[in-house]
Amino acid sequence: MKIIKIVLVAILAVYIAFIWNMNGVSDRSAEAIASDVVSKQDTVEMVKGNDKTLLQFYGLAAIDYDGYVVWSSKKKIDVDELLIIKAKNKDQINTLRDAVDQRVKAQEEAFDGYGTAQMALLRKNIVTTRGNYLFFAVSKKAGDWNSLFVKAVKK
Amino acid sequence: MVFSSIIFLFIFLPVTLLIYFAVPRAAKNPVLLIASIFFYAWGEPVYVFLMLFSAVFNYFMGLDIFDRRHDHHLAKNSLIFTIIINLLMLGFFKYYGFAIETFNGIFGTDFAHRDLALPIGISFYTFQALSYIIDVYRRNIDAQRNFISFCMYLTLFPQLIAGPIVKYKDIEHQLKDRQITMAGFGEGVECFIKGLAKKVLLANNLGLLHSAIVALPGDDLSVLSAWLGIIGYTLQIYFDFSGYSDMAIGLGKMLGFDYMQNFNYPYISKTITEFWRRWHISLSTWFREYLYIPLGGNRVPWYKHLRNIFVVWFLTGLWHGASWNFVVWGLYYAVFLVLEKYLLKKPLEKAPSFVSHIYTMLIVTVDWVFFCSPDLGSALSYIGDMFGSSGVFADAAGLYYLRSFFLFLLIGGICSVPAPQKAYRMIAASKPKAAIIIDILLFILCIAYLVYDTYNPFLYFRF
Repeated sequence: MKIIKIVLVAILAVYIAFIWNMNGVSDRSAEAIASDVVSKQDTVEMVKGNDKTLLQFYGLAAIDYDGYVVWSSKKKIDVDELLIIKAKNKDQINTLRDAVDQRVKAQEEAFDGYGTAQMALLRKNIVTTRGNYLFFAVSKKAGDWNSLFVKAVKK
Repeated sequence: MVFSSIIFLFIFLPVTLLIYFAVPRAAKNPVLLIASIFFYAWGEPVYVFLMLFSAVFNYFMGLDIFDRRHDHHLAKNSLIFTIIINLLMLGFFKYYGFAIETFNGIFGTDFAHRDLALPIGISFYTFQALSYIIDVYRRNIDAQRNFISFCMYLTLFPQLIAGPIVKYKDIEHQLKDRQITMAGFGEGVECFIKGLAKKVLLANNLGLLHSAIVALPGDDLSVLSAWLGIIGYTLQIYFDFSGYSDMAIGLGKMLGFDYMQNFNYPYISKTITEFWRRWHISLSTWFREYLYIPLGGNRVPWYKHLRNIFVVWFLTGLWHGASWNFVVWGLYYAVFLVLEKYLLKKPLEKAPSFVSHIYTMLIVTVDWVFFCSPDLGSALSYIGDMFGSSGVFADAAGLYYLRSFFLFLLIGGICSVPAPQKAYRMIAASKPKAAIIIDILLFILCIAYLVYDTYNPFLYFRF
């Protein structure tokens, strides 16, 4: 039984170390995270949004959150989009998830029937949460950005 | 996965029940264990390992303590070790960030901490495990030697993530010899639908009132708005949590388990003491049995009795959340429990019922402010608004929400007393088919709401 106890405690220690490494997120601002995710080249065809964009696209009031960065396509015909937002507490994460779900649905309704490329891109949208951060991207680079986001929040 | 979701109601539950009833008795526990692991892993693919670790660890420790029962010293050492590891797991995943922030606040340091996600249900299954371990040590029960049965007890999906906290000794025999009958299954379905209706039709809608009020622009609320908001929350949390408990108990009944009642119309209470005999009964009995009584309960000098009450309620508050406003929430009740014990008992007994009832609901409603506020400052500010700090009694927003939610508040008030359930029982006794129609209509209404709504988590999931 002594050996079992030692083994179990060792397993627990390894598991905690794994969770610490995997789940731990820093306390950096959304702007700082975004600067590690998107390069200037990435946003040549995009425009950086403001509080009005956040409200219009996602129905979110900027004052309720702890910072955000939103980029959207310059051209109305494109659906490329990136949102990195930091919640003030974990309870807001579900609200954020709902908001991006609604955004995707609205965009799909807008392009349904004539924008096959846009629809394909919308369906491949990526939503990731780490700690109090939410990442949402619709883009051919969404996967790369997501990987950079996951690394950036661990710093 | 939540009980009040289409995927649970129309996929997970029917499939699980079909397989469960189809397999022979010897296979029922393994089926439930696999289903429970799947249920938990659906929402927590990483933390399912922690839950399984807790099951495996407490299984072996239970055997160890039981095998050492003839040597009190060795058994106690093993008990202490087991309790420490369980509390370490709970403490690390739930309280480490809070501990660092508190340390920084007190000593002016700036230690950083990583933000770890809280494993769903950790407070519930840890307390279940502790009740088992302590009862084995106390020789109230024998250790469970069947690994599958023990793991199933700890991980069973009806009560795994939001209670009730099921003590092992209460269902020990049911692990092996439970009776699965059509009548029991029917009662389970009825209980489940009742809980689903409480959650989907009442809690979710009343929650909209509270959310709307706290989202009002500006720093100050009118007295009317503030009270509407917190009354909405008072009703929301009751229907949300008791609804979930009803669903858990109903699911248990369908599977042949009899769980204890977790809520007994707490809002009809006439004292805070009575309130806590009716609210989250499984938690309050757990603390009484495993902490309050071992500390001496009320069979000690008055100053130790005060200590015992405050220790229990400090920890009760902390169990609910890693934040000082939860601790204040718990200690607030400790103050009134002490006052009722030493000063207010006779006055409250002599007072007319409606006076005692108003007193109780006032205390409870104000305390919910600490529970639902993000921090102490916000809570105190909100309480100030409730008592007129804004200088405005009723504004346009308050009147608008009063008109908009009046019906839900009325229905919520009626459904929080025993009368509707008594009426249903009378109908069920005299016209069973009518009762079935009521249940079916309630279920259809709930599904309609679920299809319309997208996300409706349980408030107590954060514990």
